[in-house]
Amino acid sequence: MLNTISAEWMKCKRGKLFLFFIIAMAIYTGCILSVLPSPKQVLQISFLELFSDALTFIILIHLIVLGLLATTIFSSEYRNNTIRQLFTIPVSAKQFLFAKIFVVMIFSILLMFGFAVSLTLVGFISGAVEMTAHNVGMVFAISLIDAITISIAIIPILLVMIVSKQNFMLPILAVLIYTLTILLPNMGMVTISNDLIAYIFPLGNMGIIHNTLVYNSFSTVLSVTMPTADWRLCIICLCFFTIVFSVLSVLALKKQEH
Amino acid sequence: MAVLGIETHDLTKRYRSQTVVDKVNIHVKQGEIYGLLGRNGAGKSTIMKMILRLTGITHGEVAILGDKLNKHPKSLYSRIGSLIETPGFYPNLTGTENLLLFSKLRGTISKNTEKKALETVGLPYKDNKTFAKYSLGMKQRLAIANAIIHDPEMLILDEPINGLDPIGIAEMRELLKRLSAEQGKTVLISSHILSEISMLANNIGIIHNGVLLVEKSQSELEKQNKKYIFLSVSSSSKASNILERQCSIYDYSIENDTDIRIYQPDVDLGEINRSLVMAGITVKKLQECNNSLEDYFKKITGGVGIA
Repeated sequence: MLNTISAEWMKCKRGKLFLFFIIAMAIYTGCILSVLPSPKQVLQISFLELFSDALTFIILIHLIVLGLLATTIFSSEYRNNTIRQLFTIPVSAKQFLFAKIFVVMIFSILLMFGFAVSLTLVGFISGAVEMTAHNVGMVFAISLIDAITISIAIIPILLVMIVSKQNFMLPILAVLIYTLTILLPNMGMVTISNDLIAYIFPLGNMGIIHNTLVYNSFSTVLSVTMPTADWRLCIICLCFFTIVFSVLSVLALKKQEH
Repeated sequence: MAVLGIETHDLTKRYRSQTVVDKVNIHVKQGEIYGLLGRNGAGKSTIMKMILRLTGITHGEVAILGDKLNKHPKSLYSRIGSLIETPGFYPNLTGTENLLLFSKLRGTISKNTEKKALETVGLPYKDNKTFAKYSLGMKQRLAIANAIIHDPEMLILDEPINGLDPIGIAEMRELLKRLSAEQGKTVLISSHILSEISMLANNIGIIHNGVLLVEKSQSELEKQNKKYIFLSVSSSSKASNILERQCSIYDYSIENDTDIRIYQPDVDLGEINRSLVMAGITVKKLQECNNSLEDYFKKITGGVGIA
């Protein structure tokens, strides 16, 4: 398994992953700057409000960025005929899938870490208040947990990518539709209520976990409400969806003709 | 009884109602080069993919080195080097980097083996050229290097000479012969180029429309398709006497009352003609014929031949 993961990094050499990262970081920083209130509007900028406002956009964009990345790394294996070569080595369908998920997760962590660094810098330069070591630390921690849960929440989309083989359009469309569902009421970042839909959708699980974290960390400072859905149950549901869609993806890979 | 390198039993592949491979039984002996010959779309690649488990088997079984493939696929794969259809490599990596990557996945990483494999196929080690900039011939050479790098016991090569120049084809032929003769590697090679298969393989399987029509050794096919002299005379029985007594020709066959086929090499056509005429036998036709593998292929496939 370790060989498969390290081979994934070897594949990135001279690839466009670095450029992809730079562009994504530029967009993330742009998002932070766009929610930055002008000095005319407020006397002092709140670091935590800046974090909360920016994150609403960032999570949407992050889902799309990860979806595009996953589509690229999956479809390139089919386009270059390397999947056939890999399976005769043999790399198992399981190893193949988890190595890809691992790459997406690492990329997600790096991007969200970059976002936290960028936010801290913007907060520092703009002289934001509430920039205590605890708050900054919690921003980094929440960003890290979001990075992991978001990369897990896109696993259902991987099944579409595998079934589509080298077709680019269908997975991208699926990523966009899937991402936009987070804007539905009672689902993700917009309004969270104790609704069944929050449990039965991986993005809903991810949203509840995020909001619970934000509430527990900053409820004394930010005007956030505690989600009524149980975050523990959401973790169980997210694990369940991860297992189900991973198994389905492995089965789809095994059933495919190469 | 010796264990076969590859053995298939009633190997069948169906896509809905279409049967692309139909009850194929091939027998590849260990250490030999087996040529799978057939026109484009005959089912050669599908057979190889089924052997490698890259595509599902509708019916039948595959045994590699005596082991049924569905029982021990993982351990068997490490004993096989393969190239199926177009070479699959990462376009952003160089040839050496691609080999390193696949060696890493096999768990057999060693700089010397990569260097040796690249040298064997005539590609430079640590070249800066990425795979995307390789010519078709270079891509094919790299694919061969990747197939042999882990020193497998068996090679399964689907159209490996595609895109190679004439010198490259000759080099590849010599390499495969050497690997088989010196290292005892079993080679299953497919091609639609008849001359290549006839120069390379010990045993040949001819496949047409998914059906294995013939499986014979090269020597059997040569015997069946050897050169002969076709003689049409007024009386074949009288002519046979003359051939034996005056021309010392004994390796011949009488086809009917008028036709004879002489298989004996290096005979003097002028002397045969003179002897028969002087004995009062009318010679209607006397010509050298070459019943090639291509003729045989055309005959059994009912087609118009292949490249």
